[in-house]
Amino acid sequence: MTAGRRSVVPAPWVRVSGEALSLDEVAARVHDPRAGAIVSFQGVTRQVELLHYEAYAEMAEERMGTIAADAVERHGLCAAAVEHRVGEVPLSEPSVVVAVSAPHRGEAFAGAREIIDRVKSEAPIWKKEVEGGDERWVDGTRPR
Amino acid sequence: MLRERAGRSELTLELPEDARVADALAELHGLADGVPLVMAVNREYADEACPLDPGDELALIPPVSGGCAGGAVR
Repeated sequence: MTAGRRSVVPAPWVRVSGEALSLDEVAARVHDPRAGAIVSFQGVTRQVELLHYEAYAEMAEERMGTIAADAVERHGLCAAAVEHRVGEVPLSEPSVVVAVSAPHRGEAFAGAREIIDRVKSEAPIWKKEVEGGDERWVDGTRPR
Repeated sequence: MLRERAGRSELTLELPEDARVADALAELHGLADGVPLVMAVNREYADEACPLDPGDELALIPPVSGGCAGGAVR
């Protein structure tokens, strides 16, 4: 990857936020006239009253940016965007949203899949289950 | 979880000039025992042999569990 080529691709949009996530807003960030496909993904909380997320936010955003930029490069995406929510996330609300655009659906699906898989295993973000007043840190994966 | 154990979210260590990540961990006197950590220096993943300079930010990172899918069922 050369600096010249990199400069025409906008840096992926990434954010770690305490606010509720909007799929539409994240998807709007990847609109691109070259794109024939937009794939979006929402990870939502399930089977628990609520989850409490904590992040090492500065590093998580840097890591998410690197992961998304890698996917843009590897799959030839037009654009990519990732947001992760922190703080309390009630049942069935999204904790993470990924959107990518690409000329064709194959690259778009592959790129979005790669981004969510890597964010889950590499971004320094943790979650605690809260159920009936009890709290428990959820077992995770060792980064890398 | 480490913050809960340590009672604070960050601390400052005095280390010798040629200190590495492993030396900083030793200074924590077992704070991180039993937690399968990885480390990051200045927000990049790093190993125990990574040298430390004054002002570096060393983070102890327990297994990560971001993303979706709550609950014990996977």
